[in-house]
Amino acid sequence: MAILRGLSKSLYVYAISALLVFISIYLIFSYAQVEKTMLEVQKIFYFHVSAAITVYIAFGVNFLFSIKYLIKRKSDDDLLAAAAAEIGLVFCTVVLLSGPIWARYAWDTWWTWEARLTSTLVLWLMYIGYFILRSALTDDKRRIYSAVLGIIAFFDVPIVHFATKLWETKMHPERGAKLDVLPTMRNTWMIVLVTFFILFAVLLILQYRTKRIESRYDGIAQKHLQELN
Amino acid sequence: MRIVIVLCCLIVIALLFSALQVPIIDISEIEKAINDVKSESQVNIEDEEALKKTVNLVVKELESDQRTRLKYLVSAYLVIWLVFMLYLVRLGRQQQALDQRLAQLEQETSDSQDESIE
Repeated sequence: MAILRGLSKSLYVYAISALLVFISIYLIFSYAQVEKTMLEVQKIFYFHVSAAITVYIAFGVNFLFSIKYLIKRKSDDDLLAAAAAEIGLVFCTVVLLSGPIWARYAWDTWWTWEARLTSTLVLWLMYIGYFILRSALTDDKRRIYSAVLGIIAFFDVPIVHFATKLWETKMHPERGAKLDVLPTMRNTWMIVLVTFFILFAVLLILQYRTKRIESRYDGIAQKHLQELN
Repeated sequence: MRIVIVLCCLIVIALLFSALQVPIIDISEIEKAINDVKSESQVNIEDEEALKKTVNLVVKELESDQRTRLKYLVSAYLVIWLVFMLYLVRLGRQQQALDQRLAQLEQETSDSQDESIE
């Protein structure tokens, strides 16, 4: 926690992450070769897949800190879980919005009730529910119920990941399928993936800090009100 | 913060729209390429006009296809960028509101301290 707080104070981290985003965009459009089948549209893949993997990580962090909260009952764990879920939701929105644009070109349809798409939509809806629940309840109840929902919602992540295998759909490539990926494409994707991980970490620190200050403020304000009364 | 966001948006939009610029091949270039191929391969082409017309149509179709693909690509990246920017704006507003609340609390605390001294 102390390391996270220390890092968040550093402006260099924000500058580096912003620079990495621009480098990623440059590499995608100028360095990575055009894929033979999907041609230019394949370049959506770099952000789409990287965002999808970051979603797994973000909801994984939410899952771990939800469990930790239920065991230790520390409010900081709940705040970190909520921050991770919020950023995961942003990345999940990116996946759900960029996917249909790709699908329109590749499958000639904006949306289809295919296993992976449907399970991703369910995942997104569950975390929307997570935030509705958080806003509807107060303090201890909010923390406990949202931790439980965070744990339950995470079980959809492996379903999303293994959906193509479980339901044998032909639209998304199967896990581990051998794709004709050129070295420039692989290198670009690796850099984009690292950029997304750093971006996730930076946003997590920022959001966690904000939530922590908010929580402290609420505590002080409550105490102040009690003193006044 | 706002200036940085607006600047980032402008840079990315400029980058993406520059990607949309498909190199347009004009007729003179097509004619030159046909003449080059003819002289290199020494193939006798009888109806030169028909050949030029066909090549021209093929080039136009390829350009149109490429434009369509680039439109999908650019719109996907714009949507992604928009989501991130909206989230950053939200974060900025959240922090601004928090600063205001803290300033208000500080003011109230100092006021109540003054009252207790009096």
